[in-house]
Amino acid sequence: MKAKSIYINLPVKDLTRTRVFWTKLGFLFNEQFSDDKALCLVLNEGSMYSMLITHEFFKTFTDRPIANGTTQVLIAVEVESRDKVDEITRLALENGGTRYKEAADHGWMYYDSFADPDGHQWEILFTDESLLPKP
Amino acid sequence: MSISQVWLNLPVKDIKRSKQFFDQIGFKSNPRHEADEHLASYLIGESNFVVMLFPDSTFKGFVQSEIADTSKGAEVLINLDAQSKEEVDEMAEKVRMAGGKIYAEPSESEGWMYAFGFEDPDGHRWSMLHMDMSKFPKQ
Repeated sequence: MKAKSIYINLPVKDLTRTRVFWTKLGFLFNEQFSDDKALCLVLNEGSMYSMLITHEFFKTFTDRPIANGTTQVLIAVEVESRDKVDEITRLALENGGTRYKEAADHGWMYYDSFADPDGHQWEILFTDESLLPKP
Repeated sequence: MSISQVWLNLPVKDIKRSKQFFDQIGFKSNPRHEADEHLASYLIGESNFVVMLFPDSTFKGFVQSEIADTSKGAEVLINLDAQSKEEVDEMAEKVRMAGGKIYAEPSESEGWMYAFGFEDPDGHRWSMLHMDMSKFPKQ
């Protein structure tokens, strides 16, 4: 498969709220693929995006109702340091995100998690492979 | 911030069944987890985006929440971008051969997109889309 990019499409209730939330966390949007129906959140420029789509527009892609209160997906984002993990999680919680679990430290992997204002769940993690236990 | 990797984690009911399906449709198995029986891991596309499949029970521990019944509701749609229409058709054929359910046959829309959609054995919905940017409507 030669696919160059992957788009994770998630329904959101309020595009303005969503834009403010992710901007405060330090993320960018690809404006060419953003409009009044969807925002294209850049996870990795050129290859990974999350399309945050209004409920109305999301419904045009599926005949199933939008799940409410349950989880179908967990997106984990690896960043450059433990400090960055803490910073992003703190900003998420200060700006409308919620905590559902405590941070976890496995030595070589450190992560924290939050649910965004629409309840989608994210993990922010840092790994240091030099600390990976040797078999 | 610099993001080095993104993992898409999905719950599945039967790891073996999922492995069989994704192997058959040509997803690239992640060498690091090839021997694991309690999870499956695939590398997608040129950027090696990681998809991790975990049994429902493990996944539940991660998210501390009930798992969505995909027959009743959707939280996510996953879209892969194809480099050509042929790639879309090829994938549709592989999905058919693997017994996957195609919920949208390959078709063109708005003159610049060509896509199809399928369901994996757990009802997670994927689509593959080719965008012909030379035909993208100018503002």
